[in-house]
Amino acid sequence: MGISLDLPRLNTIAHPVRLDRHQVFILPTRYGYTFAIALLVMLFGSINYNNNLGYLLTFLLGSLMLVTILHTYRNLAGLTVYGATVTPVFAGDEAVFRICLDNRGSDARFAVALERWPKREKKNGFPRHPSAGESPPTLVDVPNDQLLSASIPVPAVKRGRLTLGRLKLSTSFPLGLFCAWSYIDPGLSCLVYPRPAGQHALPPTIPDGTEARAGSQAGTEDFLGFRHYIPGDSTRYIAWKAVARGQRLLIKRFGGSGAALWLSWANVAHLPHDEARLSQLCLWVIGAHAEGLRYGLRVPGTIRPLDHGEGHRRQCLEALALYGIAS
Amino acid sequence: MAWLVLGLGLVIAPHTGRMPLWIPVWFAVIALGRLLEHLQGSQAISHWLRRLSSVRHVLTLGLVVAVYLSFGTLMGRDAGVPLLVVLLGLKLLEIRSRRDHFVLVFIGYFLVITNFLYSQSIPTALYMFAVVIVITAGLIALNDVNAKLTATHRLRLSASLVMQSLPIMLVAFLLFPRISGPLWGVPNEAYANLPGLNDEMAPGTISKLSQSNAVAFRVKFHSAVPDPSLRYWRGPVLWATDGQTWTPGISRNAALVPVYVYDRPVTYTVTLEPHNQRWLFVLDMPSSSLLVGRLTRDFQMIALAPVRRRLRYTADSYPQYRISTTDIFEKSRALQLPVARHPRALALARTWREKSSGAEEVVQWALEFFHAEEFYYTLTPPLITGDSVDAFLFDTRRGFCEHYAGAFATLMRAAGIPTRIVTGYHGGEYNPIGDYFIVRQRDAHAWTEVWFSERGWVRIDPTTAIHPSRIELAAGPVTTSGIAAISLTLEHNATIRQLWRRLHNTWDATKNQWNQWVLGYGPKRQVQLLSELGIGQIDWRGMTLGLVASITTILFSVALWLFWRPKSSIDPIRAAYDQFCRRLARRGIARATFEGPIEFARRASVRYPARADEIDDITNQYIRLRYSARPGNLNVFKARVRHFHP
Repeated sequence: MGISLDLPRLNTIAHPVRLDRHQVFILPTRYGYTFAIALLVMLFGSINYNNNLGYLLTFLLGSLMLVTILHTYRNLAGLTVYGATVTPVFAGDEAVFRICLDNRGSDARFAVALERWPKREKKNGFPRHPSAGESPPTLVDVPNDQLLSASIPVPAVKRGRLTLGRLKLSTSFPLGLFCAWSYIDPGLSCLVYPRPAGQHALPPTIPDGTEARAGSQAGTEDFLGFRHYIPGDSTRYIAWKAVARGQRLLIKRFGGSGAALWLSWANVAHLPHDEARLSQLCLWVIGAHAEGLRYGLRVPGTIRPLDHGEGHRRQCLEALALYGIAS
Repeated sequence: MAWLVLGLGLVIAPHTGRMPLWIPVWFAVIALGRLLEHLQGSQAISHWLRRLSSVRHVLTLGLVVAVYLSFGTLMGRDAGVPLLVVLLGLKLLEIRSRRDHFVLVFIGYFLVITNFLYSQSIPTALYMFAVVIVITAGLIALNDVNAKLTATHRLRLSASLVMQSLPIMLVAFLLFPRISGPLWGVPNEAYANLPGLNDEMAPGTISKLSQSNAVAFRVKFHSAVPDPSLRYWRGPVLWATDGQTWTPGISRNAALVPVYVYDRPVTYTVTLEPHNQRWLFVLDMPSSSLLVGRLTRDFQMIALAPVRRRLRYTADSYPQYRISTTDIFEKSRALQLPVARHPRALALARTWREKSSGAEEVVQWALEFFHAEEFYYTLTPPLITGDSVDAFLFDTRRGFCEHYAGAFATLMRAAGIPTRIVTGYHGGEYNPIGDYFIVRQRDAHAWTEVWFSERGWVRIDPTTAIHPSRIELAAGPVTTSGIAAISLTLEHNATIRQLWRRLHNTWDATKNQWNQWVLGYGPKRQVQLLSELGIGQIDWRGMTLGLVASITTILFSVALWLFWRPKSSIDPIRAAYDQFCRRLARRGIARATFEGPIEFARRASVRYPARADEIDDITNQYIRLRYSARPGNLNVFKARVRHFHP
């Protein structure tokens, strides 16, 4: 349920949706109905006892109820909502979707609840909410004139693409007698990598015959010198001593014969089923990346050539995540 | 939680005097426990409350039985409120979910209304208004899930919500179709213990009233105000006596008696406080029946139903009048005396009768007797045992108006002169602020009417015969509140006394307006108000339509204000810069969200070369105020923006 204020760094992907009056609905809550019944009892009491202060109180509370409709509505209407990019996660972890709430130019809003609310699926004629009771709603307070993001944690159970789906934004502030709500679909999805599992020991490496870009990162034996850090370089090769001296990030370059690692379907053929194979490959990709090796991935349908770096790792994991899933 | 407990405590506070002490104590113990648990997180208290909560079913049963034993019932106002307080304590004990909180809030609101069954005064109304704000703040706290609002903020939000509700409340109050009369039976207890005159008079009944400062009625004269000596407000007329107590007796003749009047009538409007009796007080002598009451043979004005609500009526009276009646039966009623009582009084009356030539002379003898002998007019007469008339006339000689009226009537009857006793009020205090007279319970009075064969019924007030030096009124008006409450040291300071009196009058005038317009607002006033507004005759359907239309209009206005009021930015620099941007936007150059001030200034200058210097200057000042170590003057910046008109 984290709320961070360091928002502008997030890349936004979906179009912002402003909750205007066509999209915000409002109805009494069950407490609202109870309150209305209580008011009715008070009204009859006032009539019976001919008690004018009783009338005044009943009417005061009644108009309080009417006025609170406007306040509850205002607490939601006019808010601009959009999704931010989502960091991929491994199956079994929790995917965190971040929703930006842009409240610039408006008064503060309190206790706005965000929850997943997939479209109703009619099953046997009865509507049901697949996500109902899955996780408690995230409650956010948005100060006036601010932009912030709210996190919606969703457990990532299966590898593949986890879509956030439709969201319900609701609020019953200030009195809880009315609930205003709106549905939006920020169009967010999160890539779920297979759960890393299996043996940690990497398969045997083969001599890297394709080594062409000398000095890039081929071997680990002969030190060649330094070059500037490029995003994606493995942290293993950062010259930390230089960093400690206050210099810029430098990468140590090694020469010599490097080793290359092919992670292929054949290596995992002995495992009982596809998911176990993908999990094993996933674990190896992580291991190979951590050791700074050049590695390639061969799974039916996809080949990732030998490479290294953050980008390569991501592409490999993505290939594993989407294996067998129609894009 | 704290707000809720506070609100509930405040709403119960006025009730505490109306129920056995153990009920508020029970609530207070639970409330304090909850409060301490909430504020200090005390584990011991938490544990204790849980222990208590585990036996709540037994507790509920026990407490409800206890309430039943105290009141003999669980129904009605007097037992219902204590029951509600007991249950509130139980609910507070087992409070767990959000739902429980809501239930507490709703019971809290409901308890506010129960207070109005006991008191509808201005202080009560103001106090309860504050209580509603506090309870609503409790409701806000319940919905402010992340507790982002401070205590003051909650209270302010609650107050602003309540204030925004006031216009609709007012319209609903004025236009909601009023039904007169109860929907179902109103328990009699609601009208018990209303102060006022009784239809019985015995030594002590009126002097008891004279201790009360409560208002009996207020009068506004529409014509010249009659002389104080003529301001006798007529109430129950008493004919029958058993030697101790006077009662109305039974009249066999309902025919009205003609009254011959002189001079012009006095017209006045009385606002009568409810007294749960049927008589209406009118000035001597009322001329005809009213809409709300009928005139009897002995000129009592009798209401159609017991006066249980404040009642307004306008009447005409003739201070100069003559009533003649020759009804034998009535005369015999006016001569009735108990057999073999008051031997000494009878003997005295006989001597007067023998030495005088007519009824007038006997009356003169009697009044002379009260004047010359050592008779005292006192609020604290000694207790009389035995024959009350004889003991008073010959032994104690100290009494209040009922002693004098009773004794005088007995003497007259003994002398063969038909006499009846009239009770009511005498006098009244003028309030210059509201231009009306207040008649209080302490103005209650009893006098007599004597029948002379030529003049008919004539009012004789025997109390006026007492020598002024023997009138003892305990240190000014006897009161527990009001004017006498001012401390004795200040009593001699004329300015303060005058100021105090003025304040007092203003307060009473306010109360009068409150009574007329708030408490007295009913179907009749509603029709009157609507016709004054020029709407004229309108049925409940039209009224409902008007009500809905007005409420919609008001809600719409509140919505307009809520959604389109200028948003006040908390940051003054930003506010001024926004103003600058708005002015440019109005000329067609709107700042895009991605655009920094410098970029924007560059674009704007290209578009408005003539204003480039100004735009540059404002932007530079803004950047300096924002980012520079030596920011410059905010007011200069604001003024610069104010004078910028592209």
